[in-house]
Amino acid sequence: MPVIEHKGIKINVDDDGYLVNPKDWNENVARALAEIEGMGELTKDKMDIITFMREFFEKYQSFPMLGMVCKNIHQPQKCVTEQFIEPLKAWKIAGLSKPGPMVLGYIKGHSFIVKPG
Amino acid sequence: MRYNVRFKDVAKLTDEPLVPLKVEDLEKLPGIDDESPIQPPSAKWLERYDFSLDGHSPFEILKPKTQEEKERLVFGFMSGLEKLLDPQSNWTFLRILKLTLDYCVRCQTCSEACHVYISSGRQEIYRPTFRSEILRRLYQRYFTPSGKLLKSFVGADIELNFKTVWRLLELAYRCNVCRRCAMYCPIGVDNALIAREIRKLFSQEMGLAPLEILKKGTQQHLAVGSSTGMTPAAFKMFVESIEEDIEERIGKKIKIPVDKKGADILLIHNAGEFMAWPDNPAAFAILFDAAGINYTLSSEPLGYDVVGYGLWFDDMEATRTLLRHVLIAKELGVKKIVVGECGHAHKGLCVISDRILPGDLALSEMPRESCFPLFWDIVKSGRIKFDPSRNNFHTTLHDSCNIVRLMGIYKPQRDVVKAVCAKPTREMTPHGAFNYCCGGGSGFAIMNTLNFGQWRKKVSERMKTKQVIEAFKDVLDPKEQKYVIAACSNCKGALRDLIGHYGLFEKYNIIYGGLVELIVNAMVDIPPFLKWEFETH
Repeated sequence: MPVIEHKGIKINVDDDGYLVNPKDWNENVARALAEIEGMGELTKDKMDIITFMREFFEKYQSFPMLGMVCKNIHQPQKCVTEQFIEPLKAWKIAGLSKPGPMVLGYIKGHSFIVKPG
Repeated sequence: MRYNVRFKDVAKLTDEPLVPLKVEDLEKLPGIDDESPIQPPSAKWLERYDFSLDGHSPFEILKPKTQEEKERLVFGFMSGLEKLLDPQSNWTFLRILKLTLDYCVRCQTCSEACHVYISSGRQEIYRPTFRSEILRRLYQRYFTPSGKLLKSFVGADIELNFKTVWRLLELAYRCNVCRRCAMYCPIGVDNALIAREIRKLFSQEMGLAPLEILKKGTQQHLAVGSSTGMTPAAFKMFVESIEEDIEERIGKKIKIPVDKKGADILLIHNAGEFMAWPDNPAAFAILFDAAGINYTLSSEPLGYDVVGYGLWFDDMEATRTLLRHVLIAKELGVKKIVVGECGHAHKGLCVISDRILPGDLALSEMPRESCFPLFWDIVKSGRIKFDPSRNNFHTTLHDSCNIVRLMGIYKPQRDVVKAVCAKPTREMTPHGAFNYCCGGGSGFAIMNTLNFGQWRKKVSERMKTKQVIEAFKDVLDPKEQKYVIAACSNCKGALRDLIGHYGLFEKYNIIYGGLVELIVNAMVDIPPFLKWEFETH
């Protein structure tokens, strides 16, 4: 298992960069993971998304519906893709383990919206 | 170029791919001049995993190193093959399997019907008959007296080693099991079934199947309730969330019935819809409410996820999921099951269950129905007022193989489109029962291990890409909005994949979506429902 070190914090992650033990997570770990993922600083809006994902997973052991995340934290409907571009990055920074392939397959296409022409 | 591969080459002990695919070798795509090249697997991958068929693989399984590991693969295969052809241990599809092995005359009519073979630039290994012939020759050589004795004189000339076994496994996952080959066969031989039965041999005998469809597919489906990992509690939350979303969008609170005993209909969606396309179950709820349909969803584990991946590779797994669906419907006391927009669930529930669930577990007493005829019943009843000008864009109709070719449901969806769309739909060439698979069939849409996704984009989704571009060829200008109707979750996954990969939204303003969304978009009493957007990688 790779151990990544970022600004003095050591983080155990799997080969794809997901936290091995979700209990290792705290806000500093989240900030470190966000920087590693190229997300820069974790704003309040981003942090709200992550916190909701963690809480949802704790309660329901499932990946949430994206629209539902935004509604619950009172952000615009596309908040996850607007803030993180790839929803799976939010999941990763939330310190949750790698979702199953069906979620990966179905969610992966969800990303930023481009304009035609 | 076409690589000259002979049957006995599958036993080559090298790691070199038999067919190193390159974009220049593939069938040309109209309207795409800047196609990205095919990336070979990385050195790290090549060292660890087997890419010796065509430089691709959906199996993250370390190459066997020791003699013992290699023998285990070969003996497992031999034992599985013996069982596959023995009526004591395999009865489900044995007759058609035997007939195909015995009577195929190798006329190659089926090859020209196969989108994988054509798209690949007609590479030998992708002929529908290629994997069947290997299986046939291995059987002859090791299980028949003449084969054992005479070997190549009777055509039983393939060496059986671990590479043969591995390449045959890979070959079984280069077929979408769309069964277009079987339809074109002049004597009714079914080579797609052979691909499926080879998968079954590997799965039932050795537990060897892609992660996405076995461990994280059917096993997760049975353990958690859905192959998406969605728990019953999460499902209920999603339903509530969809209800709120509907209220915001149409200004009316709609109750989505869950676990309602004695309802007329049990409606089961593919749970992937909730994750990726929640507008689809939302549109169902709006339409059924407006039409006054007495239906219910189920929150029982498996009752909210109609998929049954076992259909693609394993009788046991298929039976386990089908059985749960039957029991849930019986417990609810509904009059019939309606399958949502999911192709392979149509096949599983409406066709295959009759064949493999015996006695009082049979679904024969529980009518099952596709959602398409029900849509048409609702639309033609006149209960709801539609304004076709709401759908004032170009459409083309993708026919899901399982719904159209297998079940013959062809007209209802066309009648619906005619009634709710302003412009006549543009039929693909060919269409209906003669359609081509989206390229995501038999699990490919969700299989992304190693570089398998690349193979899907470049080869199996290629024909559909071509058909979509050609259907809209005179209106490709991005000022013209174009919508591919794909009323099947797997097909939608594949269409999203190919539209994203080939840039069809940016270049040509082509999007995709289900059928029910269009019906609801045309409902006069509520605001327009459709969002014109495409979300890409």
